[in-house]
Amino acid sequence: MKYSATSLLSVASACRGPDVQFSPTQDQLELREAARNYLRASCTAKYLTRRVAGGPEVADGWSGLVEMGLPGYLVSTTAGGLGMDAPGFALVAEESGYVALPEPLIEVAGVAAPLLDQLAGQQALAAEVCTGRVRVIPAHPLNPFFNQADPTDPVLLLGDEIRLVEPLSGLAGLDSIDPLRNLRRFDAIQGGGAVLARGDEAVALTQSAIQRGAVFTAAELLGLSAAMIDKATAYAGERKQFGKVIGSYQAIKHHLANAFVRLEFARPVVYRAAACLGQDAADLWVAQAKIAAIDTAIEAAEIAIQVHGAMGYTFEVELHLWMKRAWALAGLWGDRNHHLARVENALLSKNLATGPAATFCNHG
Amino acid sequence: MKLGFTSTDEAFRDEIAGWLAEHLLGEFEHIRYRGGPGDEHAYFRERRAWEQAMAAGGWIGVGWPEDMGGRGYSLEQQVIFHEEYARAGGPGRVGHIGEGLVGPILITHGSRWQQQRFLPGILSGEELWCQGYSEPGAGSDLSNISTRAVYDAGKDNWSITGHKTWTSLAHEAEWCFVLARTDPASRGRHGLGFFLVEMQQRAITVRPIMQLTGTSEFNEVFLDQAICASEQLVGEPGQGWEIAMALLGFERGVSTLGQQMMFQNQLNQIITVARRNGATADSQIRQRLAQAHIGLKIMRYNAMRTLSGNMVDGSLNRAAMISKLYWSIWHRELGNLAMDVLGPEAEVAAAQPYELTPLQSLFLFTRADTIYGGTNQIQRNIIAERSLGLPREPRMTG
Ligand SMILES: Cc1cc2nc3c(=O)[nH]c(=O)nc-3n(C[C@H](O)[C@H](O)[C@H](O)COP(=O)(O)OP(=O)(O)OC[C@H]3O[C@@H](n4cnc5c(N)ncnc54)[C@H](O)[C@@H]3O)c2cc1C
Repeated sequence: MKYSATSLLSVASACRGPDVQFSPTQDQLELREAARNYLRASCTAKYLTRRVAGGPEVADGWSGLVEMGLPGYLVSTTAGGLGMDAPGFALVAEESGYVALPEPLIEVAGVAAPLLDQLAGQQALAAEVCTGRVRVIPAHPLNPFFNQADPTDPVLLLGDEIRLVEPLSGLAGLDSIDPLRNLRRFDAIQGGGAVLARGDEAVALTQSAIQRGAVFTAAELLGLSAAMIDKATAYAGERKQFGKVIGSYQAIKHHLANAFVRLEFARPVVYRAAACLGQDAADLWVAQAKIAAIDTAIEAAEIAIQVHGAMGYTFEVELHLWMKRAWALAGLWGDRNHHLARVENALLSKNLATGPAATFCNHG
Repeated sequence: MKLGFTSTDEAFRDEIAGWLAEHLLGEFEHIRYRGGPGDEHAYFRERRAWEQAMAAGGWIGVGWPEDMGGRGYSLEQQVIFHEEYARAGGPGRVGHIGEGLVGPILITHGSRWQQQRFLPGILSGEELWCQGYSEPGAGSDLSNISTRAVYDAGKDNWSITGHKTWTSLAHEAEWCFVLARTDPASRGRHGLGFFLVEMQQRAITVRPIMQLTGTSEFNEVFLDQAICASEQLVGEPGQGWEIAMALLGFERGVSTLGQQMMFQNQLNQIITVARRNGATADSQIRQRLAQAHIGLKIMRYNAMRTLSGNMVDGSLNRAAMISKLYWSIWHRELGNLAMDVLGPEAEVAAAQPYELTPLQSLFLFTRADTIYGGTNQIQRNIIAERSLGLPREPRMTG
């Protein structure tokens, strides 16, 4: 990847507020590096194309992720996880977006596993997620359709009661616009299953699970955007028209520069949200992060296609897989309108503090 | 510019509306609203039959002059025709390239023989056409084409060899108009010829290219010494560029009115969905719908202005030049709006395997609007150079 988050983050860290962590730790960076190397070597465009052609049952990449320890990234070490924290996982999520990873890493590792880890009596299940024996897929009405590649995966039903519903057998999947996602309708989940939490505990766990879903999806969108910008930049450096590479035309340069600027502005918003999960105002920060990431990805997709000309309109050049993933993820864990309404509400109905003391410290 | 319709016009409206109501039934009922951009693969056989039914009703070439087999209708009547066609949900026309581009260019630039040979096939809906301009190395820089045409004096025909790409409907069309180099030493706009080439010959191979939508409408076309009789060269060798450009002028002709009616149908459909699923409660969606409506009106008035100026010769003027840039951006935003109105449902395909809903196809197809027929970047260059008189972009070829 050409745009390293690190350089930007270290600048940001110089002016960070008291509780805002913009700069990744050494551990986080090392794990990101490992995840990046593994993902870019294994989840190549060729591999994705083969999967699209061969259907989802072809060569599931989950076991490789398990070997890397990624499903347990946020799970405590006592339950067999890596015991790392959310900002670090945001970096991994970005890497998974960069390669358009089809596996439900965000759902399982980002949302479900840490919830199980926090629930009394469910550490054994969290441990099984870490070893790859089970893959628990979270579901919440905020996502009327959710990605479930494998119908034998149990579903973690979030809400004011948290339940573990055994495999949704017999339920036909739905095709997504993204040929690498396999959808199920939330409404079709049957009752039953074991109740894992109720009342206030369930509500609180659900709320933070949703926040994680939104912020890691935002990070994934940034990765998708970076990949689309890289692809378009590479193409602009090769494709010639009128005897020159199209990247030498200002119209193309400006488009790509615009996409890049938007991406770099979105990054610290997403990291700040990931760093502040669990705090009172996290909802607001997550909303801002999701909006910034959606806008980045939609613009990056539009520009990447435009730069590719008719090539960008084919199913044969793999760019479309990134563009369609971005489109699908934009609506997950709250779409743009949903999050914008939260910001609006905080600002106009809840009298969000915006004075000098609030603006640049730990608010807003 | 006339803004009203006379009573004769209105009588004509009743005629076409009545005919459509009587004929878009039975075997054609299910192809209503189908086959538009992004959906061209749908019901092709039925739409071919429909083209012939239209022909039998005398509805092809209504704007062509009568001595060319058309009906010589006034601009107003053509507007009405397109309005009523779209209102009735008339399916995407499979003969639009023949009717809208080949017919007009043969009427203005073709020989008598060419007119007699090719216009009837278009008017009867029996011969479909495709456009063989673009090549792998010649997209925006169309003049960079390398397909070669070699004249054989003994056989009095041309032998054409090259690789065309993005050729819409090549897999269905009987004929293709091909831009090829008649002078091997030439470069750029010089030394080109405009050929009418029969697709059914062993020397031509067509490979469909899969599009974003998972379906195929355009193709690669490989010509390996394809034969083209000498009387099928339009104009003279060396005149190809001039003819090719004149033809592109017709793309901005009266058919844009039909296109706008289709846009109106799409906007109506999006508003219907928004009403049904409650998206109209969202103030941003409401405003974007209102903006879409305004944009459509702006396009319509611009089209009326363009057409009432200089219609038949298809010449470029300022009003025509700005139209593609405007509608392509408007339409791409309409695609985005459709998805935002649908919300989470936007992600779910209509059926397996990978069968998209009309609004999903709309969203995907509108990604191409800013690319084909001259990309937005090229459109802006043309506007800046020809309308504002700024210096030309530096060019290496030509
Ligand atoms: C759906 C669809 C249907 C089509 N149907 C047909 C058909 O039937 N027949 C046919 O002949 N062709 C057809 N085309 C091809 C179409 O005409 C070309 O795609 C178009 O001309 C652009 O060429 P390109 O795709 O090679 O892009 P390129 O020319 O390679 O352009 C790539 C990018 O570079 C930019 N660029 C290029 N030159 C410049 C410059 N000088 N300044 C600034 N920016 C520049 C472009 O704007 C674009 O963003 C179709 C295309 C599509 C998408």
